[in-house]
Amino acid sequence: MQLTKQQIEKLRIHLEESGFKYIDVQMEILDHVATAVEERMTENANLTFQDGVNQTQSSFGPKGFRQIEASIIKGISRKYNKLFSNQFIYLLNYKYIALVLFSGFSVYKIQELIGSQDRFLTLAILSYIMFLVASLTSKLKTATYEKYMLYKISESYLGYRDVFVTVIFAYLYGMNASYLFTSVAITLYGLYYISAVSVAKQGILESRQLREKFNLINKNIDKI
Amino acid sequence: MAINNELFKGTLQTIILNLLSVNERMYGYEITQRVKSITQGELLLKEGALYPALHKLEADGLLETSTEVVDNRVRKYYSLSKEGEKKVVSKLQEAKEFISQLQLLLNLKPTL
Repeated sequence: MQLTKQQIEKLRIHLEESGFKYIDVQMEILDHVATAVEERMTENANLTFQDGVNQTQSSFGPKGFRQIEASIIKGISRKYNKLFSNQFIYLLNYKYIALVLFSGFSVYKIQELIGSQDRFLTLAILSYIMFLVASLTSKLKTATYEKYMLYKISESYLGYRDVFVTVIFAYLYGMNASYLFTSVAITLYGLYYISAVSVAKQGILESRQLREKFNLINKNIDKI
Repeated sequence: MAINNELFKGTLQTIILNLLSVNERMYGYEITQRVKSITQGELLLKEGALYPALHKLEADGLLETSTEVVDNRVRKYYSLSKEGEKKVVSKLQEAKEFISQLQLLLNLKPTL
């Protein structure tokens, strides 16, 4: 027996009201539960949809669907951690190492040319503000994916970049900053940022693919 | 009978990889049902054990996933990656060797 579009939607709303707010998490649980309910209703023609859902839910045990959600989150985190470290290491391989060293050297030379630590700090803060504005604009464009766990986890790496900036600024303020340290820190920051963007892009791509399918289903429901 | 999680833990990944090497691609519910039908209902693979294993295998790069709209919902299919195809052979061999050693240990007769 196949569930109707309305029953599927009812199930989805039930999951949402139970606290499963991320669409990708909902989707994976939804298919499993819907298939199990269909099978129960096929085996017992007198079984109502609601009873089928209740029976399926209780068969998941005391932790219910939370266990699936936890494993989905753990799996996504593990996958993106791996992607991030692979990307970071990739930027340090022979193909890019010359470019990385050149970037570090360029930052060193800029500091030397500017000559004053205070002026360099002002320039660094101004650049960072501009960079933040650009990042926020970019975040607004992808805000539509906020409902996807894939996006949330993949995008979280970008949040940690501020740790780098804090360390750089704290060092410049608190001590006699050596140009070398600043160059290394800024270069590492660049590598981190590129890796983080790469992970976030992957998250957006996967979220977009899911959203297209989700929208397709919703469009069909609206037509009924 | 639901399999004791502790007993299942060590071999679950091998079981999933082996099922996928035979079936090309499967979705979560299908895997639980296939285990049930192969063992004629003697062994039940619970969702609480299946999904963590599937997501770990995917994160480790041994499984690939794809999604499709099926019966008004999105279905996630799991299949072996290239790395997974290589790994399934060694995992199976490892499991078989473990089972034969286990049989030796479990068939011990008390000495007089």
